[in-house]
Amino acid sequence: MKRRTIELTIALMLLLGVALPAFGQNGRIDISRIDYSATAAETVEVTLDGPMLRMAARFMRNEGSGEREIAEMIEKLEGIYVKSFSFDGPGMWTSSDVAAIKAQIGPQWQRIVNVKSRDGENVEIYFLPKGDSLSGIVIVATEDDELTVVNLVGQVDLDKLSRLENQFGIPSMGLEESKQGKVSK
Amino acid sequence: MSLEKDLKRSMARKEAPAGFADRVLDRIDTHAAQRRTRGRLSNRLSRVAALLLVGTIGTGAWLQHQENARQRREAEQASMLVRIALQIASEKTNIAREHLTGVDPDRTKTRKEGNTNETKND
Repeated sequence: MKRRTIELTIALMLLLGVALPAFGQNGRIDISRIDYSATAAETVEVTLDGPMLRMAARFMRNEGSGEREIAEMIEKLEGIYVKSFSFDGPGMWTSSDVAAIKAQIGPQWQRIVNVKSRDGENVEIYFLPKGDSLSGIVIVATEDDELTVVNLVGQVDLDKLSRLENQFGIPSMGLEESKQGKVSK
Repeated sequence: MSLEKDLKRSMARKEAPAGFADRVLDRIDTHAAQRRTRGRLSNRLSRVAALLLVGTIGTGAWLQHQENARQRREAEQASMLVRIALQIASEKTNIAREHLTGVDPDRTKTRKEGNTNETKND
């Protein structure tokens, strides 16, 4: 009985050892543990999996030609995960959270951008290549008073993505209104 | 010949027994009453069945309408979140791009504040 318990424990540990690093293998990383919503001045949290993305894509296709391009873009995605926190002052987020995110980014990922500026604005962008395309993007952007992690899973067109800024009529981060929404399936 | 006589005799008109006409009329009335009763019951059942059918179809249509409205609301919410997420991703990507291409980093702060005019700090 004792031997069986030990065997089961070892099997469970092996299973967890395999399962946890599985995050990061398919383009997705786990950002759920980052949570500063209690202390942040603004919190944006987005969790959209495949079925919800398909639903959004169908809706946006019917909205007009501008939205149709976005619909085509998200139809190729399997997930969109965002956590973004803006704080009233510096020192409100910890580097260990950022380190935990980066720990999931294994050797198969490629860091294509690493920007560090004197004003404390840092951006790192990681790609997970899959053949001739990508199967995931991770963006980690930090400032003294802001922490943002974006994970796009699936085929991402970075050029299209960069052209989308300010196209939605949504003001840039940093305005008074708080934006909070969470949809999970 | 006797056959002819027998036929004539058997087919000769005979008077009906007493009360025969009354019995026949009574039986006719009974049959008619039974048919009327069955007809009323059948009409009632038909009306009930029709009401049930209309009610079922109407309820189904209403439930489908509610479900469609709920899905539409979900789709609207999901598309709004998509826009927000892509806006953020696009913003950060462009911040990196501007740093890499040597654009004045202060421009990123003015964009963040919602000001599209380029400013420089000396």
